[in-house]
Amino acid sequence: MLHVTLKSLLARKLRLLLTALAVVLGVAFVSGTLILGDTLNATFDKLFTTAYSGTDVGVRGKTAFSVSVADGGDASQSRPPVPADVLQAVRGVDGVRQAEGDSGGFAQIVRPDGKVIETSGAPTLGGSWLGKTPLNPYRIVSGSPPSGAGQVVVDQQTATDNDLAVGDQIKVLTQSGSQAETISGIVSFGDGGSLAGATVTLFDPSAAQALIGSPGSYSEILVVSDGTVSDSALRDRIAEALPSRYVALTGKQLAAAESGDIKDALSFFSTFLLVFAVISIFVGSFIIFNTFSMLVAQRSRELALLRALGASRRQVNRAVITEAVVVGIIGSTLGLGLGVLLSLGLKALVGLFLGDLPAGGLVFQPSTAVWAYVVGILVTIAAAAGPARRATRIPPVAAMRDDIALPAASLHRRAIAGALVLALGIAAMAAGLVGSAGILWVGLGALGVFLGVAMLSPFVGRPAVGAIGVVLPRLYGSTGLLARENARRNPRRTAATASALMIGLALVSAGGVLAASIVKSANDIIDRSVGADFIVTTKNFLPIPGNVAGEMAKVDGIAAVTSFRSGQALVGGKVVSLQGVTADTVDKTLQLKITQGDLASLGDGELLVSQKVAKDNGWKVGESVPATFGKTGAGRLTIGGTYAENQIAGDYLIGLDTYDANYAQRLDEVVAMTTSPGADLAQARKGIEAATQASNLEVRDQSEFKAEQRKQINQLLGFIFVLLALAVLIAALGIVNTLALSVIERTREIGLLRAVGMGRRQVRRMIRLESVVIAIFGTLLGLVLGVALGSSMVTALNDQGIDQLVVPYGQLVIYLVVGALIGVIAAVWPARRAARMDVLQAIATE
Amino acid sequence: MTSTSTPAPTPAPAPADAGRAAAAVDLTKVYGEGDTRVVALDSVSCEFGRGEFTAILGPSGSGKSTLMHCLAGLDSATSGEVYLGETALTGLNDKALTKLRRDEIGFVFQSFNLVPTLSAIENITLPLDLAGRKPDQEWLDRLIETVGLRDRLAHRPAELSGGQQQRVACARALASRPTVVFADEPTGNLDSRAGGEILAFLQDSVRRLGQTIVMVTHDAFAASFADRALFLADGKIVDEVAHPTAEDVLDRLKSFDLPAKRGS
Repeated sequence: MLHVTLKSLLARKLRLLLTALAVVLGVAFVSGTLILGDTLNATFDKLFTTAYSGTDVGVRGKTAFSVSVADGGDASQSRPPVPADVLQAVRGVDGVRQAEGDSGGFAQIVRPDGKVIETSGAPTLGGSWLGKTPLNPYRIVSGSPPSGAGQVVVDQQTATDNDLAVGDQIKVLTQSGSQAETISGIVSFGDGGSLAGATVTLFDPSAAQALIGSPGSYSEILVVSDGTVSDSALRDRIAEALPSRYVALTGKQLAAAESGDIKDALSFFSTFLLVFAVISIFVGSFIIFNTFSMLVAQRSRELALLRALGASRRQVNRAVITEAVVVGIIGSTLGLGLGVLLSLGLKALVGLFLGDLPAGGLVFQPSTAVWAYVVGILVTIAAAAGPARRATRIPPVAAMRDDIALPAASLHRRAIAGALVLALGIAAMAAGLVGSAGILWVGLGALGVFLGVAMLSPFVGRPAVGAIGVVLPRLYGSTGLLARENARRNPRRTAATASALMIGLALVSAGGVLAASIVKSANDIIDRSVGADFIVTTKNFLPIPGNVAGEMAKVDGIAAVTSFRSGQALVGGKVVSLQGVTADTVDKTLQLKITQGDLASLGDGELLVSQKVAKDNGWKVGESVPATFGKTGAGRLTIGGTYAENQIAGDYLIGLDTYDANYAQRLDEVVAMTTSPGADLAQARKGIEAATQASNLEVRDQSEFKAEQRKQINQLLGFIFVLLALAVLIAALGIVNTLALSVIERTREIGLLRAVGMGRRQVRRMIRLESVVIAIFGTLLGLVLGVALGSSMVTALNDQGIDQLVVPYGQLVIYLVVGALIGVIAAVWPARRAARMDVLQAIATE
Repeated sequence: MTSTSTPAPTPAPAPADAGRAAAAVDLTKVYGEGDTRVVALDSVSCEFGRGEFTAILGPSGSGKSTLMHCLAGLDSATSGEVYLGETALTGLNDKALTKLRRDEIGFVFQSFNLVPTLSAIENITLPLDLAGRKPDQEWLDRLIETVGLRDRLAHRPAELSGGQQQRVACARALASRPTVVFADEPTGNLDSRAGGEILAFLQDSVRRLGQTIVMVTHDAFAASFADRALFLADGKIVDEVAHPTAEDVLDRLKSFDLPAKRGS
């Protein structure tokens, strides 16, 4: 039986390839994502292994609370710096040959030509030049080490990219402001290792401590052992000598912890990509299902013959499943190959959002191949299971009949099953959106909804396709009539083909609704919450170096300037995001309505909270609440007052003094300002721009700020569309596949039409119109479903500030046109095949 | 084309055991209900002896195909009983019927029904392959010799003439030495010469190999190769002729034709 199956497969190579293509693309997406993830992980593993290669033991502050990386937290925020007396204590531990304090922080270079060196997302790091010691991962390539204030060394890659040479006069922007420096040397990282796009500026240790660290303390202490004791034993000895807020780790542990933090941040991205890979596979499974259904229908005579000759049901079932396994293996193999190429594309795509990713070899883990095959083969088997079961129901007597109707599962049962799946899907989505079941349930629910609608779509298929194609007979006469009727002839097939397209377009239009609603809501929030005339930020969400707020205050016509600094802390037992703001101006740059207390109470050690938070926690003004900061540890803050909901302010505000006392990095993220009454806005803007010229700052007024928000949301939407494009491509291939197979199936009929005088052009048109009708049907289903999905998501996000529901009708019309075009393009090849058919041969075909 | 009418002489096997190879007892088959109710077989009883070549004749719609489908276990009886050897088919489940078809029954179809992707020899051994059995090489050689396809074994059906395809189909039907071979209009798609070769081969397999064959046909010439002809009309056996000649059969058929035409 196996060789009967294999021979039958090999005899139809083209069909085999078409079916496999649906598997190929899905598997390529999965394996591409896995390769990308492994490659990034390996890159950062290597980076931190190099960074700590000579460090036997390190000492750092104990993590006070776990920050949420997804909310923009930084792990180092949750740790206190290590004071100098701890360094002395470590130096005294038996077995320590050398111990040095390192200071790390923000340092951005301004080139001699005045341009600020930017990364596209990677950090701009500053640190201490530790000298000639195994602790120092950097090597001087040219020039000499920095000595005293005024000298720095920079990394090789940054120097090459920006034409920096030893002796160049540069400026370095830090939290202490802008500093004139001379490049005394160029360094390599390890033996020329990659820094993953980061720029590195190293200072003399005491200058580093003064400029980028905290006076009297270090970000961490690095230790070299004298070799008489193992690293872990030395770590334990040092740990005994440490005060309770500090921990000792071996060099290997440090490297693992650091790369683990970055991997956590990146894993979010891998997961995001995997979601789209799953969507592609889901869409692909519809195509596989459809193809196998058609193959079984076409071969029903052959299968009946096998049954008549003594093949058991199980053998017939196995024959179809074996075919699926072969298709799965071929598809997975090709998909794996394509995945390698795709990972390069994904890397570039990710680079647009995360910043330039380091060049370097792709990492191909054996597990990627395992996943590719497991996913490819299982999905194919699952999708072919239904058609295989139906194949077993072909009665052997069919081998002797001319009219073979494949026994169909009853439509009644299908309606019930479809409705049930749909209901379960909606319930799961509701549990995720409204309840607290989480995002996974939303995803599972959406899959259920798609599956349910796909199962029910044959019921609407016949009337809907008839309605869509109602103009065809009038426009194209009998050609149009035939096209419409062909699309209606097999509602299941039409529905399954259209469903694949439906999923892609449903997600696209749901994204459209969500994005339009977010843009509108964000604009409203800005209108409601922002009072500033001008807003200054950097590109790429990097902090603003230097004392920009101070300089802005000096500009003519500027009345109030507010700094915004963000951080996380453990307040009232929860990790929360809070903002440090300039207390006396924040009510002018934000439309902040104080409901209790006053702004003056935003003094040292005091906290303003939103009314909602005060109510939820039962906090009263004057009450003292526990607050733990990474730098300073457990403490308390007093509730100084409450304010009405303000999306820009967030739920927790502290004064700048409080912020600076509790955070190691004291940098603004946003500087907002208002002009004095009657001031010339254009004049004020010129003044601001002049003051920010030397840095990479963006100055925007409110409408530009809104436009920027829109741009960012649309950029994200564009990114999602690119990822969804693959799912839509697979769906388009599904139409190609269905049409090609039904052309083969209708060979005799098409031959007959040609014999009675249908021209080649008319045959092509007939196939094309059929394709367009199916595509429009799928698109319409998708748009309806997408708007419903998008609307329910917006409704669920209501309390997150997305309170405006906007349906972008213009966009939906564009999607519909795109859907119709997909139909036209998908028909090109099958239509040509049908038109080329030899009339005589076609009629003779049985 | 190699002539097959004079196969290599082989010693005739011992005459088959007396007794029946298949039988129908009060077999009734009804399709549809109410207005669309059609009685395809009306209390048909008949026996097919071992080593006998029976032709079932009758006009279109007489029920001859239905009778064959029921005898072969492809279709179920509405009432009555069908026996294959001593096995009663009524009430057998799909699994048992499958096994029966595989081991006890051979089929020859009007439209050959070869698997287009398999070579001639692969088609011949397909039933054995499905059963997971090794072919009896000696028997297979003898079959191939008899159908005269030795030099065509590697060919695909598309590369064979209609007559050659049907000879492959005959060899396939006999490959597993079934109790009964059912042939459904085996010459219907062939010209008279190729048809004659097939019929001679079927006759030969009865005479020399002791095979039991039941053939459905409406062709008087084809029926003349049989040991016995059964005539069906309106779902009933209306006549039976031993050692029929083509003329006998034609006469009988003409006599049924008239009322049948009037009825339609």
